[in-house]
Amino acid sequence: MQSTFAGIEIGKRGLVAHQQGLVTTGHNLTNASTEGYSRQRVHLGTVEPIYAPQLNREETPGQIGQGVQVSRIERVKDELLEGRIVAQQGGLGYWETRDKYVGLLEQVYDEPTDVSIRSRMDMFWDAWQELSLHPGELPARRAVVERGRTLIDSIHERYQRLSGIREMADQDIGIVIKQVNDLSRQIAALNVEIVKVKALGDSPNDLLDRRDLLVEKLGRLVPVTTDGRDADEFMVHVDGQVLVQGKIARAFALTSGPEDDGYGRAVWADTGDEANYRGGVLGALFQLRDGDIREEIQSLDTMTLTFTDLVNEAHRAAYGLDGSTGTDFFSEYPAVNNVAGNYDRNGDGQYDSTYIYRVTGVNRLDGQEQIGLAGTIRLSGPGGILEIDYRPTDTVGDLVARINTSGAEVTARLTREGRLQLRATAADARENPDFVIRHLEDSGEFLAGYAGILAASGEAGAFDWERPDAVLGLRTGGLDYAVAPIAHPSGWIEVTETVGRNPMKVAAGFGENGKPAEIGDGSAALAIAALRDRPVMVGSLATFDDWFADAAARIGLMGEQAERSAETQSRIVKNLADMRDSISGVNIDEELSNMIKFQHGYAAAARFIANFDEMLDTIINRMGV
Amino acid sequence: MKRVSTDQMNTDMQYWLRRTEDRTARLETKMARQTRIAELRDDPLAAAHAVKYESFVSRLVRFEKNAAFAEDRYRISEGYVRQAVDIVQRVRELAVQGANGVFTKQDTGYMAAEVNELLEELASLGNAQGPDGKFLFSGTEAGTQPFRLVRGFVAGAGEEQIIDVQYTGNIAAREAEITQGSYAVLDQPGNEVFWAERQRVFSSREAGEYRVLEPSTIRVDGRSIELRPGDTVHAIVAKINDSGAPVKASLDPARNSLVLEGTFPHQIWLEEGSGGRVLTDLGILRDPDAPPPDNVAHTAQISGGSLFDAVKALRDSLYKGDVIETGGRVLGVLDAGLENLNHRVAELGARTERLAATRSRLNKEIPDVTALLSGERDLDMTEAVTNLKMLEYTHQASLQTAGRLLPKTLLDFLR
Repeated sequence: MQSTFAGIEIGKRGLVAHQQGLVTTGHNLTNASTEGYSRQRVHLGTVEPIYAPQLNREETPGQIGQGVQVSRIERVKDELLEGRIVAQQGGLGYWETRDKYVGLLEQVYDEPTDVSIRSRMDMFWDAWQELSLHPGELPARRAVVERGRTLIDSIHERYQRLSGIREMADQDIGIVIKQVNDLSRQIAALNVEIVKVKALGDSPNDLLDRRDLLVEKLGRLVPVTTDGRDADEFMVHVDGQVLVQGKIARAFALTSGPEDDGYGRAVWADTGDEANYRGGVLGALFQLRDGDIREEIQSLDTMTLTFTDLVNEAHRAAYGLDGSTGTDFFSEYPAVNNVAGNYDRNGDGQYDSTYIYRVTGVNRLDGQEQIGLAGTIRLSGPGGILEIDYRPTDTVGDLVARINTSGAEVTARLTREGRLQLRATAADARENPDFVIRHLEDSGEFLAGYAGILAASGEAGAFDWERPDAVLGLRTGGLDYAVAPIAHPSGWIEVTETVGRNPMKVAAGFGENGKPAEIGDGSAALAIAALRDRPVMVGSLATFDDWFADAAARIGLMGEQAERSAETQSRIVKNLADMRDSISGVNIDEELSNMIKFQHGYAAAARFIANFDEMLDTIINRMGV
Repeated sequence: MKRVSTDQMNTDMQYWLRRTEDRTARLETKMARQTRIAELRDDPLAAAHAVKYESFVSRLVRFEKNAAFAEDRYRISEGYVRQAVDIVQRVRELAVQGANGVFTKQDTGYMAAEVNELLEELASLGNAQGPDGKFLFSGTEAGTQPFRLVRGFVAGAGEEQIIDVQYTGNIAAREAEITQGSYAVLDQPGNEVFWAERQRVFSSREAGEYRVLEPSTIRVDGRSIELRPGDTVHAIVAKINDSGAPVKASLDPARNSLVLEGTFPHQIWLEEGSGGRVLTDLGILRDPDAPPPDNVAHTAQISGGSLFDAVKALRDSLYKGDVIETGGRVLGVLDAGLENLNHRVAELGARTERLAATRSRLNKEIPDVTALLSGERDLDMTEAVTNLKMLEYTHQASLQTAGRLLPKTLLDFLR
């Protein structure tokens, strides 16, 4: 025998269930434009029917259904799709950041216009050509000095802008690391809440949505993978290591050191291990700061140093209008105020290294002459020591070309007088200083007796930078060397005060046979002008023209690649996001029809209750006396 | 995807609209700047080429300027040398006249006076200055007069007259770059232009046993000749002859000493390389540090004079009334000097022609390279405007469509 009021109970259950459905529909509708919201569906199920096969059952045919209940409220979400979106976010963050920064770099280069460094250098060159036509004039010298100053200004400006961009990347890194740490903390806090809710058997839909959104944001900043297999501990991995595990959130920190201009490296805050990011915004920022922008600055430094060094070399040998000689045109600041280039690298108060930029040999060589010696030259390279062989039938010019194309961090050339000059280039690895010769060794006699640079061949006569006073081991008797310049010469190069204040000292002629130049001698001006398009080895490129063209092409190609990849990545993410939207997004029409459905259900249940109520009313009020 | 959420239509439209707007903005920038390469990423390789072409064009423009400057200079020099030719021709006429035996000493005295005036004029031509105030025939010593005139007593003249003309310039020359790596020589030194005879320097020291002891250099007419220890005088002779200097070296058969002879009329310029003594030891130079041209040893004989010496000789012989001298040696030397002057004019003419050819080549090359540059860098306006119109049209169409489709939902139709 059923309960009298069972019907009302069924009706009530119907009302409640449909009301919950309406509430959920309302929730969906109002959250239609919430970021990261997945629509929630109410699953209606039947209540346990009576009677179950048990001893205390009524002897009445069953089972009698007991109405409707909300079995669960679930969010419609494809977890696998979500995983893919998070994975692709890393790529999007990476390329978008690269696109933005490379765009900034492109603006610095200002090509092909007439206000770039290249056009200023053309004008400087033009001034020297004019001086070669009128070597006895003072106005032509003033023009040379002024155009030199303009060129230096444009070099400084480019350096400032490049460093500014590097600074900006560094600051961005600091901000993004804070954001990452913040996000990981929030995810861990959410994990705690979610586990508690799940433990009670509920579906924490909104919390899950919020966590997914945070993971997606994090995935843009660093490449993450998630692992939800363990229901109690939701894990987020970065770079193979755990970032968030359940309620534990780890963080990153930045360390700084004296190398590489004080820019810090990212480490895990608790263990101190270095953190590597292979994607995401942070990955892009680190690669830009320590790779691309640093290389651009190094390239500018190489060009500046080569240019000023060559101009100074010719200018020092030439005579000014007042008969003075040995004047530098551009001033360079040495890294150390020590004539032998001794430097204290690790800061312990003792000299431990020798910083030398350039060595010029004693003997005059002829580029076409065969060496007649055999051996192996060992030079410092990006990944260690590079070996370059030479045979007796090689000419001096061949060997110079081989050194320059070998990829070593040392370039060679023959000076105007035919002496062999070795110059250091910018260093590839961050811990090595730029423009310092690190290792010179020759197993044969070429560098030793033939060119007159090393004192002896083999390991005994090798030049190595990791000793103080290493210059004492070089050949004596006319060897010329230069101490390495202070970091980033392109920021510090100036036209010397001497020449700037007194343009009479601008030298135009070399003189003949050891005698000072006459008033009509413009040979030095012609030699300096010739630097513009002769192969003088700017880093690994032959001429300055090549350097300018290479710089423009390199940045342009980087920009093109960044833009295309960013666009591609953006489309990929959009497609995935569209798919997600299709599955989890709110369709207002759909929700409205659901609302109508639940409304009708509610109305029907209410009607049922009213009928039942009427029936009961008959029994209760109308039966009896 | 069969199911489309309400928001998606909106986001989608926004996404594509942003892209159209971006493309339109970029195209407008390119049109305003008249360049196809507004940012380097638009065409990196074309930018690299454009950069090289631009610099190349500016270099060509400079070369053209240099060539024009050189041509003007040649023209000015040529003017002076032609005037000198006229003067020397008049002098020669006087010489021929004076060689005629009918004139008395008084008559030849008058002729001598005229020759003296012509000599003064010739000397002032030699000391000519260009428009920039620098001397034309001084080599690189352009601030000092090339010819120093020494005046003194001349038999038969009533006043002080020129008795010696010394060259005080040098033989180096200014150069101008007219094409990459190739230079036009701007000057002709006075001791080449105003020279009449081939110089000969005879050393009087026996050179058979001489050996060079240390590596040294000698400089003959500006060319450096390297000598190795152990070189004999025969090796030195061979090296001088092979060096390309306009000097022929030989050994005098009688005295076995070094003889240097110019291959065309000019003053031989001899110097020791720094620290050397070879020419001094061979008896050619007086001492290693003396600067040319008067550094020839006292014991050496030097012959072959300048144009001024020839004209002076004519004047002196006219004053003396020495007909044989006038008609013989002096006339011969004047002829040689005139021939040399004509050679110089021809040389200047040849150089001017080379420059004219260079200039016409540059005049063609500059527009050609500019056209290449334009091809890399410039925007095709027709294409750009058409694209812009297309983008505008697309933009408008998508906005209109969105305006019609987006606003309606079921809500509008429910009561």
